[in-house]
Amino acid sequence: MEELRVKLITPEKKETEISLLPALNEKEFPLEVFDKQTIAFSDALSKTILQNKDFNHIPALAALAFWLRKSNIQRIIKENKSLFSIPDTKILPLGKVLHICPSNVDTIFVYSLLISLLAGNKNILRVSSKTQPAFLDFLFETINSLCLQNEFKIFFNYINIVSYPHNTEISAFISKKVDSRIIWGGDNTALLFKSIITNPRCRDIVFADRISFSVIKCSAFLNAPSEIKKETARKFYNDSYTFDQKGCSSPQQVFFVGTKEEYEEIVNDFFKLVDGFAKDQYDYDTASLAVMKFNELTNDVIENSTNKVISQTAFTYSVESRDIPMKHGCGGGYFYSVNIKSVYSIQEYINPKIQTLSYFGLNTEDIENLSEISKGGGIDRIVPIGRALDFDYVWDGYNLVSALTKILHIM
Amino acid sequence: MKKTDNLELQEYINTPQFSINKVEKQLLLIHFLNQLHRHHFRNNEAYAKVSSGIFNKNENDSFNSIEEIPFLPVSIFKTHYLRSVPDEDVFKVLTSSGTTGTVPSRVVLDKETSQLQTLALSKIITKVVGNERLPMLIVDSQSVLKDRASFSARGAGILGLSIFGRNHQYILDENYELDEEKLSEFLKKFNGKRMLIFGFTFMVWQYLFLQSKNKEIDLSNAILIHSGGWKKLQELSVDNQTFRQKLFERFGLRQIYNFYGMVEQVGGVFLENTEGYLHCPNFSDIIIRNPYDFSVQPNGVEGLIQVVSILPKSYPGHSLLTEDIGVCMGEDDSKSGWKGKYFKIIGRAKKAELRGCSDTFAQTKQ
Repeated sequence: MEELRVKLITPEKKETEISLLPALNEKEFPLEVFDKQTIAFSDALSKTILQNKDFNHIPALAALAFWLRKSNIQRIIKENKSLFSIPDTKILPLGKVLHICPSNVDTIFVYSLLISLLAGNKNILRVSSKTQPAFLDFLFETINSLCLQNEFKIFFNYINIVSYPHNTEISAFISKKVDSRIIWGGDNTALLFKSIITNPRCRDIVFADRISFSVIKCSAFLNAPSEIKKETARKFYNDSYTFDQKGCSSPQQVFFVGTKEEYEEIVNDFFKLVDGFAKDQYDYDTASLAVMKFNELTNDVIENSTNKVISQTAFTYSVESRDIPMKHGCGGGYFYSVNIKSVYSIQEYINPKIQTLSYFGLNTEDIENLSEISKGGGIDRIVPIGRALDFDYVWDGYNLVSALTKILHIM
Repeated sequence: MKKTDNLELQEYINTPQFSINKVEKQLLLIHFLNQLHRHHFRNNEAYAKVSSGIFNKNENDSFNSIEEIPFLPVSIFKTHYLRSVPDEDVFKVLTSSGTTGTVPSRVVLDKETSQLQTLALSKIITKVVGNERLPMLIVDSQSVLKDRASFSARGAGILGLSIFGRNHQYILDENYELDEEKLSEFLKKFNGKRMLIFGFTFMVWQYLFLQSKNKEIDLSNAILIHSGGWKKLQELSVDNQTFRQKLFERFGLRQIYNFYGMVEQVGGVFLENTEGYLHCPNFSDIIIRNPYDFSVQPNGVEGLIQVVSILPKSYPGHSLLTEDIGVCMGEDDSKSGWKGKYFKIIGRAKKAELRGCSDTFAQTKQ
């Protein structure tokens, strides 16, 4: 058999034979679930990011550093206390975990890794070999140097970040040896990995293609002071444009709940405010956006997805659409809008692909009604506008902490 | 459209090129474009939907200026097969593959539109070549014409121009290598004489200029027409000025005409004037649009190029937004003496490559 070689990035940079990866070979599992050393490691990583002036201004990194802080990890531990409350049981690490990381939502791999480390697992992460932003290298370097420190030596065997071009043999080799696979990256990647034979008890945690939307209550928006309107538009801008509207929790469609008159009164203003932020802050070639979105609009008009344009600037397209199921547009700030009378009408649009609902102006009763229509199907998150991208251990319908641990029953 | 409309159109195409001033041209173009708008609206569902859905224009709307005419994105012909004439009238379908790996455009021609295209091209070319057929050197391989079922843009360009020449000689063999022997054979007869040369800009540079070893080539009486864009030459840091200068130094070649056009728009043929700018003929025009909101840019400011032509009747290609970025330099006041708008191309809008989570493994397959 020919050697299966990968590029090891963490804990040290070198070419290596896949069967020699420390995470696959060390039999000992010294870390506990929620181990103090892991909390300290997370906090140290957070501090290094926050102290780096080249990178700490990048919103995705700032959010990551904030999440990694000791106090936030302690919140997660507190929220999961009930896991430990079943009589005659112990919560233990599940074992070895393979993470297939998304190439383009660049910080996800750290969240994926840290949650698994908190569960006490050993980790192999496959990251894309495509060109990556500079801060990724910084993250790799930081993890590597932490692993060299005496107090964090233990993580040397717990974190193996590798990169290899598409190679089913390598993926199959690792898949057979791990107890869980976390597969980011949509339907194609999920199906590709599902076709690879694993150990029969391997738990697959799959993040497939999802689609997300926003709900704005017209009356609440109408009555809000102008700075709240602006702030809502800014938050909506962040949710949408941070990952070029291609992140699975970025809104594709906006439901405006209210009368036709209320809707018409606010819809143009809302997208005008969004366009203001996009024009100022969205760093992308204007002509490319204009061409891409005009192509999308023309196709939508010809295919009857829309016959009304609300906003048409290179940065912000908004078109009316009642398509069911709702569409995933071309990204980069292309929104479908629809006026509905009550939140109940959203039910027609719900299918298993729906992930995040981000809202403005909904009350407790509305949210109760929305959770009622989430049974058995879509909607895995209901969050205020501005928090669509806030990643946490509860994601896509999973509690990742409990999914990555095992229960030992002692009688 | 009625038969008389076609006669009127032919008559207009026959007027001497680059002769019509701004005011008159606007009136004439808008007259034909209003007819085309109604025709395509009635006979092409996609055009009708775009006109009403995006531009709020209906069948009976007529326009006072060409800037008001709805436009389709040029890439529409990659995703949709659009025709405005009955299927039985389809005479040929032009295709262009563009860059490798992309879907080709399909452009539907009936007899009438195809004839108008030939007429329009001949009016432009004879303007610089004259009415006499000249010996013609083609910097390409005859293989490019082999697949006659679907004309590639390059093949169509060569065939279109071939009718203006005689004693045609292709100087690349079937493997697209320079055939020095064929070149020498041709030059034995015609070196230093009046002749027509046609080829893609990059191929003229690569083969005729860089590869040919023959030191005796005299093209001081030749006319070169070249097209295809500057992308590859930009990578070699060769711009239009360098291109012209080097060809002059090496071959004495002075009459060089760059040519901008696309398979998606018949009649949209823009030839370089003596000032080095691309020039709109009588029957077509350009509008530079601000990429932010598609408003019309003033002269001297760059934007996306919209091309307008009064020829496309068989398919809705009379008004198209291209993905090219250019600048209109002026109108009617060119030092070349030609009337009409003149412009230059800056480049092409980059293809948007957006990030996202559903992009990890499957797409990186080798």
